[in-house]
Amino acid sequence: MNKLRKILSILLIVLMFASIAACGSNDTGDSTSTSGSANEAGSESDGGTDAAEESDYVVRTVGTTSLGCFLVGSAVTANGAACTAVFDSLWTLDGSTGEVTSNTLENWYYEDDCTLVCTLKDGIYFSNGEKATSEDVLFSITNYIERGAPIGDMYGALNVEESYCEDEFTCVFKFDEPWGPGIYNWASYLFCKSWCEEVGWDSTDWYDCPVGSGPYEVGEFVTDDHFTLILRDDYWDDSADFTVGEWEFLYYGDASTMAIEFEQGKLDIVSGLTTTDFDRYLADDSIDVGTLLVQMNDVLFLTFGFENTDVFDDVAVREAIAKGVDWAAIGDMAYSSVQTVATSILPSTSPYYLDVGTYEYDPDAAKQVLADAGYSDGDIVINITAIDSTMYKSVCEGFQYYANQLGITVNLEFADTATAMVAWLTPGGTDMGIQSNPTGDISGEPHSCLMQMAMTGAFLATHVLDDEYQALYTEAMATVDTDERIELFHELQQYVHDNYLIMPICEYYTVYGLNPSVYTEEEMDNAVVAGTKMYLTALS
Amino acid sequence: MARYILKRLLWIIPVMLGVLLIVFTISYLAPGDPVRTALGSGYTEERYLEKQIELGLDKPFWVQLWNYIVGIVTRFDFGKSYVTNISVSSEIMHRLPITIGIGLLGVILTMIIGIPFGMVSALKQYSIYDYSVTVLSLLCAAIPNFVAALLLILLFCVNLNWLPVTGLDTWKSWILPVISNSIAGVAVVTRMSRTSILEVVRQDYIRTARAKGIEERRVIRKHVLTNALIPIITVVGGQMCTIVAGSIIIETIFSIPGLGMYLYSGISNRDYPIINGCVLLIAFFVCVMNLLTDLAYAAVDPRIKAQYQTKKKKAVHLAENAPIGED
Repeated sequence: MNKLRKILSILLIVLMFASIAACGSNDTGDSTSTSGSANEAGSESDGGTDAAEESDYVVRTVGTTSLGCFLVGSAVTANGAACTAVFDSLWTLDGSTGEVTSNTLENWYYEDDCTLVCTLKDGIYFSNGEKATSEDVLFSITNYIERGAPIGDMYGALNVEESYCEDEFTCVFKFDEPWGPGIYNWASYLFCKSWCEEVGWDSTDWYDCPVGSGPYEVGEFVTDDHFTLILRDDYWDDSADFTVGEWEFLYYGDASTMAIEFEQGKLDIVSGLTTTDFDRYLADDSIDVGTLLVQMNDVLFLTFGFENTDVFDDVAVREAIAKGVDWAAIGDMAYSSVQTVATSILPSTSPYYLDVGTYEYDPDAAKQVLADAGYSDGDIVINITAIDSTMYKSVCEGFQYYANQLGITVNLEFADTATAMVAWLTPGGTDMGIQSNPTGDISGEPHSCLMQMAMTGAFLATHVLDDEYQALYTEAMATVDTDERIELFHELQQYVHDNYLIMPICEYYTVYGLNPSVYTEEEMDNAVVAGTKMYLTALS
Repeated sequence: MARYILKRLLWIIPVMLGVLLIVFTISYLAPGDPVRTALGSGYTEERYLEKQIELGLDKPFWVQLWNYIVGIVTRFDFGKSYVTNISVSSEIMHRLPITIGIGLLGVILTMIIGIPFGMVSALKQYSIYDYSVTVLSLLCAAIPNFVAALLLILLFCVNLNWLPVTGLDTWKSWILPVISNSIAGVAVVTRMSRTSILEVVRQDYIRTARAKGIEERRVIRKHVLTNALIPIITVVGGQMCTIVAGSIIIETIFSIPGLGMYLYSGISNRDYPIINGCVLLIAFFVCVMNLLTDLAYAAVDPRIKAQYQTKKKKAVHLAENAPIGED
């Protein structure tokens, strides 16, 4: 027993000394030392330890809760900012003018309503040394359709077989019919056709060594841990001047852990802070961090599952729901302080947006509408299946509360994503849908936001079974003139509002965290283009 | 003994096959469609069928199962993730050392703390030491490991800034995950050690040993501890079995790319290759750990060891060790 006491005493003394040593080390870590796996951490170790080296080789860290891969259009595409660093974009949005622009294309124009001609700049090279040609431009768009990627739907009436390359730098896109959204309204990256065909779409090279023409290339990729982007010495655009030699994306399984390291100054940029942390930063001035709210060009709305139930065929039911639910409160439950009340089914950042106003919360009027239509308490039953997450639960339970006040029974079922998706895709799986799709990344194009409501959308509970709605939408899709399209979408939004076809809830934001010793909010604000997180190269 | 070990190792094969059949069947019948998960939304019917064929999910159940077994046996190939298309075997090999490292250190820490504390508590029953250890172990048992992890982060990372929150690149980063992982185990081992030692220390042979004038330290080490070890080994063996399963929550909180997080992502995405590969690995590990636990019994208790011996050896052993007295 005495021997045991001695051993324990020695252990305690050792522990004490170790604690003192740890306390005295001042190893708060620089912004590059947090990458973690049992494997070697890569090239970030010199950050913060040698002033001379640090000034020559700048490393910046980004915290993220999702790594993904660089295969754009896959189910696990990487952070958009990382993609724009590795791949050049065919089109981007000039944040200051609001115009669609490009640093890879010389020009592009519609020859007629069904023909788009694009001319690539000369002198663009991929990281494998190959020169970019019109074949690569053509492939960069048509590949989404040929491999059946969901993003291929954005190109609608594009005829892959009829599209062709005119010369080394000019390619022609042919459409079966006038295609209103065009093809330049989404983040389209310049792919190296020969490399893509060589490795295929299933290769793991899309994780650790994708070939692009962008200023950065992937240095290291460790699944569920981190990846690094290293500045290329041979980037084709001599006019570009990048100071950041390396971007390190660190993966965090838990957003609160990411917030802790961010507050400790170990991260330069954080993508996707929670609303809880954001509210805490607003309330506590002692936490020295910068934050930026970026509009997601997205509206959260509830859709009526016309195809799954006939409950919503009666406009009185829809009107009662519109007036009997406090949608502002639902938005608050869903996104707290990082949202604003939606005043249309399109986000206010879209040039196609029309402010149609909100439904005034009037439960008495709602009850009267139901009574006049002959409904009693319990006559209407709605079953909703949603994903088991905080946001979905907040929205659904909030809706259930208000619906119950009107005498409408709402049954809720929450499941994980895979199970919930089966319900959404199965006839009768859910009576209402919760949707939020962003408008086109480049110019606020409504197609991607509203495509689920068209009869071709995959989720049955989102289809709007209304002939006038579908006619207006189809007409807008087939109109290439921007002014005419704006008018048609205005009409569509007003029609939706007047007929209670879709219930918009809120427009929401993503919260970015900034290390105030590295970036100001203004710098970040200027760098973020149309909420697409295309900030990386601008901050480089 | 060698024959016994060989027999147990051979038994692992039918156990693994049984586990594989069960988990494969459950994942096959479970709701959720891996093809849809892999494609996301907005795919065409054609693309769905193509993907289904590509993943081999168009084939009948038994064909899928057979192909899978053949892949494992011939190439140690657990297939590729439906979502990321990365080889499951390579991901498991990359993550396994991390998870085993944390788990093993956790078990070692559990034993280092749990057994001595249990011993002190038992030998000083009803003293202040006993009550303190009892309260501490109940606290450890009551606090969920993720709460403990967050409290430790708050104290050591945020307030004191002594230790890093995430990563495993320095020895300091291992401290909090290991401690968080071992807290519940410490409680169990402490309580079991206390109970077991209390039971042994009241035996007649312990009283006899003391009466003969044997030094107390020697009584505790040679007679009490060795006889009390069997239940403790059982508990520690159980802890060892959970190493490979990892702690999903601990790995998520500390952003550790281990097997637990990998399995969780597979379950969420209905990624059957990941689920099947991880579960098979866990089953294998449990079988091996159970074997090691049984061998540990034999090492500690000669009576158990004698059971494993062949008849011939038993006869020789009995002849050589005919009882002539104690000491």
